[in-house]
Amino acid sequence: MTRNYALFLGCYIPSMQPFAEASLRRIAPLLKMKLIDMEGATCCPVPEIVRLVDYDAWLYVSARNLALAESEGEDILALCNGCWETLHEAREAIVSDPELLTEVNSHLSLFDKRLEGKIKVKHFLEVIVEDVGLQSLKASIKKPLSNLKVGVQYGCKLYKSPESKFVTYFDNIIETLGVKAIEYGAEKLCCGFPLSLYSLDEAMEERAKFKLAKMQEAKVDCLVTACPGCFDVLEKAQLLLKRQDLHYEIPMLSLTELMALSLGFRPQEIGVDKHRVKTDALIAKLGMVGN
Amino acid sequence: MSDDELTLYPWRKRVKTLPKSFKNPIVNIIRVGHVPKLASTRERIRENLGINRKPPTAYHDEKARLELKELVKGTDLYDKAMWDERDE
Repeated sequence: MTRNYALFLGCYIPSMQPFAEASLRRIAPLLKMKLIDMEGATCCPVPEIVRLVDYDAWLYVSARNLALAESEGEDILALCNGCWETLHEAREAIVSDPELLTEVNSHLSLFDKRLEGKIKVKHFLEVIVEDVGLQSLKASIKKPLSNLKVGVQYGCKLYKSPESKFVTYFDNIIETLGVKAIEYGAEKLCCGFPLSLYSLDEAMEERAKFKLAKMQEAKVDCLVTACPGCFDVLEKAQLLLKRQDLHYEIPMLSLTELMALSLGFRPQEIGVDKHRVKTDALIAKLGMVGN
Repeated sequence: MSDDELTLYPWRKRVKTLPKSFKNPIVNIIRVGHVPKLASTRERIRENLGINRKPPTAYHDEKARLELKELVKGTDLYDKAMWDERDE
């Protein structure tokens, strides 16, 4: 049975990491997922900035995005950890407080929108494990990547899921794909994204540098993450730390890209060759050069 | 920061304006609906990957951008970003 989802793209994925979006759109039909674009969706808005500056504005903008999905009658599929955090937590706050719901709706009514709290906000990992199912995922694999050793970057927000179940789901998916996850000893360390909003230099010095060094020591073939914030900072850090003569050269994949490769798509079809950190060595290891 | 917090932490100062690192993303959110602007190079990459040149979000939807702007007008977010209509 095909399931419908209101696709919430967020900001970083469509503008900076379109390969994550392209790979999701390629694999969705194979996993019996129908993605419905949320026309007119905006920034979730970003919790590390907007919620800190003005909680009300954070709630109103979240509510508008939630109302867009509700008008489609479909649960939201959030591809970004930060978007999941904002939309999930804003929904919980609004729906559990009838007075707040009324207040929010009085603002939304200016644009003929209304929120009732009928739909859920689901993280991509949640959709794959709970809706699609790991057996279905396994049955869809066309190119086992069993020779690949990856370092997993979960992202802090996944630990906010009930009993950190999304972290387990990430591991379940990696295991189902047959990829070997290498323990590098800094999995739980923040990538530095929130700190980078204050100072990218400090984020690199205090977080990214240590994490990348641990992955390099562990000799991972690539880093895999489901968080565009982590992807952005760890990619930027690899480029900028070259100024300090630090050359990590760790290719990075979003989880949807790793899944798309496993499901038989070529790296060039999904944009693996469009990353800022070179992926040539990874593509060669996968035996997909020139495809 | 509330008045109570100022009493409790007298050495702290009330933040009247946003640090630049916060202001730019907020101004972008109010202007284009998203944190990063969409560069034309990225639009071309999107097209080459077979997905819409402009994402089906506020990036290509002026009505959505206007709605967001109206929604946050009158909130602290708008004021603190020192939004200036003359910038438009």
